[in-house]
Amino acid sequence: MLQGLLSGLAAGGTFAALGLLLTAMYRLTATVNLAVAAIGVAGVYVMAALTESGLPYGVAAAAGVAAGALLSAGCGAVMVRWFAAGDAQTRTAVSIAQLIGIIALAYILFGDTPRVLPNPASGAAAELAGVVITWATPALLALAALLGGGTHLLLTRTPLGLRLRAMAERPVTTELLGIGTRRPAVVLWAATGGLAALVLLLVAPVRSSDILSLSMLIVPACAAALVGGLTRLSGALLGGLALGLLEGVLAGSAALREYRDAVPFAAILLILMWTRRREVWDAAR
Amino acid sequence: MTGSRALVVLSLAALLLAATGCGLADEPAASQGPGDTIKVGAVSSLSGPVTFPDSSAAAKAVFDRVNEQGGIGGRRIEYLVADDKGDPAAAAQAARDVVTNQGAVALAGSASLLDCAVNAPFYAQAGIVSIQGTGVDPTCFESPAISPVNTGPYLNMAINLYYASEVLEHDKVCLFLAILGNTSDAYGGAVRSWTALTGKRLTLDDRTVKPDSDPTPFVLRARNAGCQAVLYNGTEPMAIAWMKVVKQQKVTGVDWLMTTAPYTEAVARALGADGEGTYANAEFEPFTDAGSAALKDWRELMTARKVPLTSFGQGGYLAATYLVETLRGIQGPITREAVTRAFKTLKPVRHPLVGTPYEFGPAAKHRSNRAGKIVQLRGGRWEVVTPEWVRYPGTLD
Amino acid sequence: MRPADRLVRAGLAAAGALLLYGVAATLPAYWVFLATSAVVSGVLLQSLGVVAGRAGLVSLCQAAFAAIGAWTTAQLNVWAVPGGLWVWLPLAGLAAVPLGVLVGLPALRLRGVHLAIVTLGFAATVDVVLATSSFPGVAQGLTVGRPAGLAAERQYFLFCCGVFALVAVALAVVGRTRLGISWRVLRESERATAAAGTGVPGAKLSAFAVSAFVAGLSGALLAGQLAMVVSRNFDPGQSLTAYAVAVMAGAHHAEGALLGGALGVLISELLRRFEIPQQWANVVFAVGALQAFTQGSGLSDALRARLRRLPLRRLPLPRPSETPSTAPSSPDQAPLPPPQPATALQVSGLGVRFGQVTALHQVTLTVPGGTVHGLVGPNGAGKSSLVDAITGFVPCTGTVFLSGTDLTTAPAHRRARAGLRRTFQQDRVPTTLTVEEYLRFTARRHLTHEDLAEALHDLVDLPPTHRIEELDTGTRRLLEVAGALLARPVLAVLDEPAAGLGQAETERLGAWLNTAPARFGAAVLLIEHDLDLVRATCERVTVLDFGTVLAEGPPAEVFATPEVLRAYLGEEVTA
Repeated sequence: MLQGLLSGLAAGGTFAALGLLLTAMYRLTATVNLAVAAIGVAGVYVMAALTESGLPYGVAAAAGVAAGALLSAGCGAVMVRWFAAGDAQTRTAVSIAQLIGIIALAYILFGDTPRVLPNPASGAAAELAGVVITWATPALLALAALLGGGTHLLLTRTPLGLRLRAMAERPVTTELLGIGTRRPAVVLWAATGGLAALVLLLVAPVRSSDILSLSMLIVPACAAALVGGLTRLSGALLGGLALGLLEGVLAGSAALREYRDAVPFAAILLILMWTRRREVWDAAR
Repeated sequence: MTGSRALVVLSLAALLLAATGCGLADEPAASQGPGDTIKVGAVSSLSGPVTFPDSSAAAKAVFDRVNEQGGIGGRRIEYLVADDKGDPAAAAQAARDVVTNQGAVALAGSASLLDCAVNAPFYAQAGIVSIQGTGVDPTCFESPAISPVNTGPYLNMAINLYYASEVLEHDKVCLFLAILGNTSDAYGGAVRSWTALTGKRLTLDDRTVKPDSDPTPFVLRARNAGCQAVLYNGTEPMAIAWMKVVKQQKVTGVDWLMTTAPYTEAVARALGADGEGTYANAEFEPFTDAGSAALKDWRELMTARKVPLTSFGQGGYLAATYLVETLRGIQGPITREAVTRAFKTLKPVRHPLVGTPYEFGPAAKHRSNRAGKIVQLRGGRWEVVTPEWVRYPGTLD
Repeated sequence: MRPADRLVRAGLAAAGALLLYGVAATLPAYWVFLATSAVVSGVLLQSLGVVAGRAGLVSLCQAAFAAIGAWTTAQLNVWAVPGGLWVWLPLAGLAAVPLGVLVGLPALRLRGVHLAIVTLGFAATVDVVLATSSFPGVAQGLTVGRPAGLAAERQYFLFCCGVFALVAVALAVVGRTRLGISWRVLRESERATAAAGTGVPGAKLSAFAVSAFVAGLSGALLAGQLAMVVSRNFDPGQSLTAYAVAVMAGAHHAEGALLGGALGVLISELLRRFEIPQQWANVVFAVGALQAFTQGSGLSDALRARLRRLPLRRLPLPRPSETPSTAPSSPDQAPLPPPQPATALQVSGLGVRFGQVTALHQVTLTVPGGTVHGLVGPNGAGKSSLVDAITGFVPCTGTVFLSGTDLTTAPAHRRARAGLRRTFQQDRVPTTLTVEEYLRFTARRHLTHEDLAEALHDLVDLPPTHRIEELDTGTRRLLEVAGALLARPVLAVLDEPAAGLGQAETERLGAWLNTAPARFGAAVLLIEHDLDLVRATCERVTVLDFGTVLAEGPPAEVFATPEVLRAYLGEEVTA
């Protein structure tokens, strides 16, 4: 049990970090960016290609993060240019198209050889209950906590956050008020892309390096974000951690092991249905 | 009302279509006359999540050499490799293109995760044979139209089980499987066969590893259960991730046995000292054994044609070689019917790269390669542990 | 439909059938296979056309439905159920229906992005379950057999075409029924759906069920085509791609679905010919879907819009003003409206709270049958809350009786069916319908062209084939009012119908409303800011302020009381 929990910590950090990115983006850009994990994967593969060409890991990793940021900025530019007035559903659907495109392009550019990814945090950080915890776990947890705290501050304490929130909630009005929102929005997209790449750089070496399955980390990340109703950062953080721990525990349970991917999802679905049981109508009035 | 009337009209039209459709029969697939090239096909995963490009590349090297030496009865071999991108729809389309559209006489050197599962019925129906370079899914070993040159993951696993319990003499043998597609029953068959043969049972049988799983919980589980030998069927990157976790968690005193998939130079390089002692099962004469006389021709050909030296390359080379020998033995025009007849009446062929003779013949299913050699990672290099072939004494049903 | 038109359709169908037969007989075998693949994925895209295209519910798990269909087919094949694919096909479709309903259940409370995530998660879950257990028969090498008559590829191609055509025609027919229209209304507003007497849960679940059925068919067709399917045929990636293609092609029209299927196969084939990596196909779909999103419509919509602009198919439309009979002044010709109850609406002790805020408190309201009753009050007085409470859109305390029947606990669509109709302040008339489709949908009864002409006669001048998206807001508002009364309700609650109307239109509305009780047998509760309109139409008026009833009586008396003047017109007037 304890071992299961400990071994699920890294996964929890991953889900929480990605879930926080999703939540932040939903609040600031009114988009559930389903491509966010895929963008991170693209960054990881840029890093892998560069290290294979002989660059030191630090430089390659920085380039990977930059590539993630650039790719995400591109996606954001598309969103801002053509879908600034679109509703959340349309913008999310657009991100699905972007997800498909990114996965396909990543396969075209990198996919033909399975890659061995260098792991920056493979050293042992601690040993608890007979489980060796590598540096990746505290790094991911710290990253998730920083993301949560940082986003919270950005949202509540800065004029930029206010502006972005206004844009997400009332894009046309904000535009009419003459508040420039395009550039900060693209910058925000770039930042999330870079952060996603950072998360994936830590995760990818532990999990397998397949583009599709890494991109599908978006599913548990979405589940984490849903715990917070896509709006509460604390919910996403705790939800992600809980999901990861649950995965770790279920991996050790003989009865539920086969369906451990399905169990958390069912749980989330029930939570959502319960919390939204009063949302009978599509519009508030 | 108008709508329902339109419905009646159109459904009648549809029924009519179907009924008159009875007059349409499939014409026999295109056959070639003499003088053209001999078209040989392959359906391989060349792009997508898991790729096997070496098999068809090695087969092409063999065919190129034959062509340079004058072809077969003066006819050149034209090798058509279609990519299935790991997608069933694309695999079906690729097979129809190669067989129906381009009129291949046989398939050789295919290496794919799903070619057999998707296309075996079609190959049987089209009357074509496939000398599979690397058969992975269980259907490869269950079809009258397909006979793989490799051992396949299931017999491979049975040999590993046998080696772990009977040669290494471990009592606590554990099995971790990543189940991709319809492979669970086939692995189950291997385990049953081993139990029937040795009377032993697995200490752990965990088939819930996913390609993107973090291996940590599984490795810990193996340690907690006190496994002495752990068998794992992960692909190259999965096996690397697994062994790195083993090192991280400081698990010692366990023998780790992998299938053929991670038996590559890349794994040896990536793991280095972390993988010390890891076993793998070579389906063919271990290609890393530089001194082996059996490998001489293969090694020279691959090096000359710049094909990477891998186990998959051996499979492609063998498939192409078997096909060329059979084609040479055919009297009269080389058509699909003639090639299929030749393979359905083929006598077992011996080759120094494999432990048991290659068979095709009229059987309803084929699994002729029934031996392996165990290799072990020592000092960052794969070393042959069993100079003699380990032949699996049981049978898989 | 006119006989000539019907003949044209039959001719087209026959010509299409002949053409298909010719195609099947002459195409090279390889192309027959490709064409079959295109048609099979066309069927899958049609299923997306129902749930995503028509009902506007994001579904990212269509391939999972198809997987259930394929699984069922394989299982029936293993059991050797007699009848072959002819029988297995519909069974496969039916097997997917419970799953469709299951996915539809969360959709009752989750929408938009939440629903997208849930369906994606569902697809991933089905994939996990399928990947751990193989399809029936695969392990034994047992392939899905085709019955005699479908064994050859060419025959099977025609079979798939037949299924595609059947699905297309069935969906087109359903599209014209209440059910099909309710999906399209649902896409724009759930409230408008319920206000027309159609239950939102039913509409949503039926959309998912029909969609799952069609997707199940496509899975069965695929199993029959390939003889053996594996779980990767249906992984979540396939669902995502299908969604992108459906958006790109506009799969809610049959030709869009076919086009999407054909594009998928054709692009893949072209890439193969030019030896370009197959993955580029997905890049094309991604860009195509983005393009479709920027346009707001897919290829099929663009095609139809272009066809509409062509001058050839301009049938002369009978305009209501041209129809000679027009019997608006003689209501005795039409079937008589139901007898009117003495009391249409009786509301007592009604209260509504939003958290700590009391919106309405102890409101009592009586609307006698066959009258127009006014409800006025300053902004924020609680008028809209009262409308929502009476019509069942907001939970409340107290009782609501409609002509003696207790409707206090009935959901909104049951109240609408019982004869309690409403209109909305917001523009909720679904834009994708035609005028006729909309009126038939809201009326919930058989309407002749004369009925329509009569209802619209002196209100708005509109040809019934007009599309609502081409109308301005004022016209839509009048149309909504006409729709509510055409249903011949016991009571029609009209929420600020004159807002945004011009002077002439308002006067016309007033005159029309005066005759409405007699023509439609309905009482009217009119919420309005325009006091002239209230004076001109209402026999009695209720004034609401701060959530309570301030005064009630004939307009002339009520508007003269000082309290009303103070509350309604402001202090300075009385001062």
